[in-house]
Amino acid sequence: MVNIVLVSHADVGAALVRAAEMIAGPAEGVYAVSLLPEDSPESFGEKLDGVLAHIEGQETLILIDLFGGTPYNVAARQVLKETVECVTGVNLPMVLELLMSRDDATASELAASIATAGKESVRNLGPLLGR
Amino acid sequence: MDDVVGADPFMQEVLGLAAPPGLTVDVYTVDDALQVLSNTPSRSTTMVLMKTPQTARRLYDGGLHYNALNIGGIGNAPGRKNIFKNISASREEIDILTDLMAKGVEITLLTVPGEKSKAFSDLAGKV
Repeated sequence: MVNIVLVSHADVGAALVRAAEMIAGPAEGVYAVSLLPEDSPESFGEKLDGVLAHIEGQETLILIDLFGGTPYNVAARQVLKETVECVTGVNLPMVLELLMSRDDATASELAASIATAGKESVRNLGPLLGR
Repeated sequence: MDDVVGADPFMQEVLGLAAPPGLTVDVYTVDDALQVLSNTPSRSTTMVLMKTPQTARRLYDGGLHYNALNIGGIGNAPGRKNIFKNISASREEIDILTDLMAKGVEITLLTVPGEKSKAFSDLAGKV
């Protein structure tokens, strides 16, 4: 099963995991690393390394909150590893999709599918409902 | 400008990729940046990003006498103390900023867009 690591400003990542678990049930192999106001890029990097050390060499999908910013700057390098994929712009539908489909898929397959799921989840309701 | 990222092509790609559309990102080591900026006739639309006051001093001492410097966030670390919001600085860094201020650089502290910026001159002597 592919590991999931969320990296974010403040506790967005941890909150997304809690929210997804409310819907999909308790999940294993899911980690969240928060960039706090007192963190430097270096201390955030150490926190991320600490989590990744547990799952070294395993298939891992890193979900990054923003395309740009410290979590992105620090985490993007991990994509150089053969077993790691990184996707930016994480939202709740993406995390949910992952929790429900990661049993027999590779990190690379999941990365492609949730990038699409994430985009399709964004809708402007006014025009859609004819208002 | 940063000596580590300036020598790291992969990281330069990572930073350039996430730049807003229409914006070009160039990454240089401090020495190269100094060279490039000194030889660029119009710098009016160039924003220079640096990680530490030490780099800001190298830029100034290298002959690029900028008028204003904003401190946008310096993480806490051993040897640094918090001086304003999420900005921390070591004694050495505070001394560098105080020195740049004495040379006429207007130094502000602004960590989040839209907030009211703080003048470093209000803190100098107290930190």
